[in-house]
Amino acid sequence: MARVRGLLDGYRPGPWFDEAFDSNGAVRAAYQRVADRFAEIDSDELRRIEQLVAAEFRRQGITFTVYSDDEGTERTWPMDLFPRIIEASEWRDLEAGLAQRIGALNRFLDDLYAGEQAAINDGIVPRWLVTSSGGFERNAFGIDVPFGARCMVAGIDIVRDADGAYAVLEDNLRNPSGISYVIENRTAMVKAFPRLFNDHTVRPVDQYGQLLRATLTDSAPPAAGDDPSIVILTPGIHNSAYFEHAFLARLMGVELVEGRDLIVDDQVVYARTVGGLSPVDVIYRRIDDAFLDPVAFRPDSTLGVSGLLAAARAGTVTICNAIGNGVADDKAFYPYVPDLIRYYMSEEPRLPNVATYVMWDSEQRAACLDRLGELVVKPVGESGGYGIVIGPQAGEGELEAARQSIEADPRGWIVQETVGLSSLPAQAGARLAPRHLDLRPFVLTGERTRVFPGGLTRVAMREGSLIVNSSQGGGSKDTWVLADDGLIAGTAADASPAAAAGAGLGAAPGVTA
Amino acid sequence: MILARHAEALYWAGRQLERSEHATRALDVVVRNTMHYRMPRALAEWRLLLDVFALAHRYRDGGGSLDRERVADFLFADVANPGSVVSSVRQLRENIRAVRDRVPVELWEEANRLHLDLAAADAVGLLQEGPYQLFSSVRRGCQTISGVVAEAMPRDDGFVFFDSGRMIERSITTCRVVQFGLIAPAHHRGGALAPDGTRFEDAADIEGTVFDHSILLRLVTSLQAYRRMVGYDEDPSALAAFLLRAEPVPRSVLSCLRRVGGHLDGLQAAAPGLAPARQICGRVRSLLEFGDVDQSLADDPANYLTGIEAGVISLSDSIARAFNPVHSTDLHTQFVRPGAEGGGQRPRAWEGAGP
Repeated sequence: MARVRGLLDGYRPGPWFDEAFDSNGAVRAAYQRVADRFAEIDSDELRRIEQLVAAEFRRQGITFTVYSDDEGTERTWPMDLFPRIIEASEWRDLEAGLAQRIGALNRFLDDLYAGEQAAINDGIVPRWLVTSSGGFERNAFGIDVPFGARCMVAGIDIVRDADGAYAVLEDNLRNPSGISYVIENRTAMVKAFPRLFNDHTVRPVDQYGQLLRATLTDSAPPAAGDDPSIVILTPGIHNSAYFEHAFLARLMGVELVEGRDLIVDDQVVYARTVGGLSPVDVIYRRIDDAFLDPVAFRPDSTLGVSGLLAAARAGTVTICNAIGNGVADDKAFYPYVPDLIRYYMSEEPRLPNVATYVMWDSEQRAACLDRLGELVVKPVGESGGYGIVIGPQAGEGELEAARQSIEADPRGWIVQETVGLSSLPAQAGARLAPRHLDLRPFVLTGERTRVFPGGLTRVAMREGSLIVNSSQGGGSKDTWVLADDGLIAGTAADASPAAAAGAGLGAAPGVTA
Repeated sequence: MILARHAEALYWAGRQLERSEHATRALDVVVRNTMHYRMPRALAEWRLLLDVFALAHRYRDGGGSLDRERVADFLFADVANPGSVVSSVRQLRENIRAVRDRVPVELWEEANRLHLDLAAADAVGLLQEGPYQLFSSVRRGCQTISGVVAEAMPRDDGFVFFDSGRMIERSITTCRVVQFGLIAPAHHRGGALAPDGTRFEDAADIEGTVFDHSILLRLVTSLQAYRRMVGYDEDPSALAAFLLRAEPVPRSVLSCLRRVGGHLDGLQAAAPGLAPARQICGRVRSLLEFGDVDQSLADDPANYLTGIEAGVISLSDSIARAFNPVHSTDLHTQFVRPGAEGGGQRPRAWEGAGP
């Protein structure tokens, strides 16, 4: 490829919102230094840095697994070098909105499984919708969770519409993954562009382990004392997120166990060590409900631990995230979340939903089927971007198939207005071109709710594509949340990270709710 | 206390690291050495390698006649041979990957790097064209891993199992060098070359080869030490005794067993399941430490060597038993899934290394 200078020359944002350039093509203030830096380097230099980062990721085994047929393939984690920047004030709004949303969802879940089901009784959410959800789990009744924090780790997918307004696209309340890549992306960016970090006060992302461990410790059964035994339960090295499981275990200094390492005796969970059985107090499980306990769920599961649920019900062990959360991140449930926020928090939602239509309502269904070509059709039970039909990009055959699927199973589908998704410059051949992206911030809930600064920015690497999932060829970007007055001006820095982060766990992220 | 599964992965990682490094060294030695010899003599050395790594059966069953290139390929690059260097490195990497959360980051990164480099290299081509660079890069990779282990790995339970694995693998190989390099040729002169009965019909003329002491010593990286401590004594018994019990030599069987014994002593209180292993280790050690090694070698060397090697192998088995702890008799049988014990898809053992 020929050497190209001026990587951003001729950069044309589309009709959607571009995070770095305004509609006149001028660089937004927060991105000025980054744009300057990318203007200094040429395509050869960019490629060189990119190869360095990729080689480093490969050597460090920073990978994810893509399943095709029965064989899993280990792929090196893809990161695009042009970072995403979120200004301090913008982040404060997002943070408050996320904490509010997770607060309401946790209240709902705990009310559903351990409370009076007030939201259902008061008609905020239809009972049939809850009980017909694939994620609704009768086994969760009677299992109490400290602080009612049933969703201890949440990942909320957020997008920006054509005006740049943030909206929630999807809640992930079961086993959201990606936090390890947030941290590794930062490590790689610091190596690749050290000078950029001198020019900005970017809030650090390296306290996640400490925060997660504190949250898990909070959630231990009271009998476990101050230093509970915590483990992460992984399906094993062939799982797509194994890298993350091992990463978190190392970060927190806890054991990474598989189902076969655990055993339940008299409603107590033990790990099988060389020295004998050693009791376990908290299990941060990264296994789906269905595989957790062959006695209670799928009898053919070889990943779980027999009797685990009985132990949880007896209160000798805490399972994080709690069982049955899938009911509240069912896509069919999503349209009700704003009302739940009003109901439980007595506040207006700070972060709106994307306009969504439920297909079991015959009027909404008829209206949608008339103009399906403008809308996005999503199966309620899938994740990872599978099964989605994007109307404006779909052929007539695909739309007809979607129409028939909706008619056949209205409960199984939701339809959303097409959101353009904002864009940022990303590497495209020898130059940088606009590519769509989303954001998955992570929210931890123990005694309080903490929103981790930034999150995982996923980017569609193909022109015009709206699918950002890494399993479908998407990439990622380092995500910077600036401390107040994040650009260090020519004068002395007036915003140190410590001052911006405030009290709490050292330089811990902002705390709300 | 370490999870039994993690202990097992680290134990085998230790063995695989030792195997990878040692097999590479041994190949290097034999490739260089056999340049100077005519056929029968050279073939005998290749044959010795197959015996030392307990792979003669597998090689013969693969239909191979004894041939320099084929043996080198089989021992180094053959992915179908679980005891080859390439396979050992792959298994080492898989086992470290299974414990990557609890070992130093660099240990995982170096094991991963070694595996990736080796997988990307054209090992078969390099073996023929220029094996020295290939050998030296694998050796350096293994030594880097050893260095990380020495300097960055906490001396915890994980280290104990990793290092015990290395020492057991090392002591078995040293035993076998003595047995097949020194004793078997003398003992079986005129008969089947190897006590395991594997014969290569087309290579009958290599039977009875007497190996130079220098090559045997180089196979276990102890030539320099021997020259300094013993000199040029060509008596097979002197060499055998040196390799079995010379204390300052890190590859002598006694040195290895001392280290394993120390590790097991340290775990005694926390892991009572290891008591039988500790006893076996003590028994074999005392044979070497207090027994009359010279007299035993003079009386019935083959029998004596077989006994020592069998002791080390039963020590290995006994440690392996701690990886599948049975607790409170059959308390848990109702919950233990059949076939779950010691399961996993990863190959952990290679042919011949166990009983």
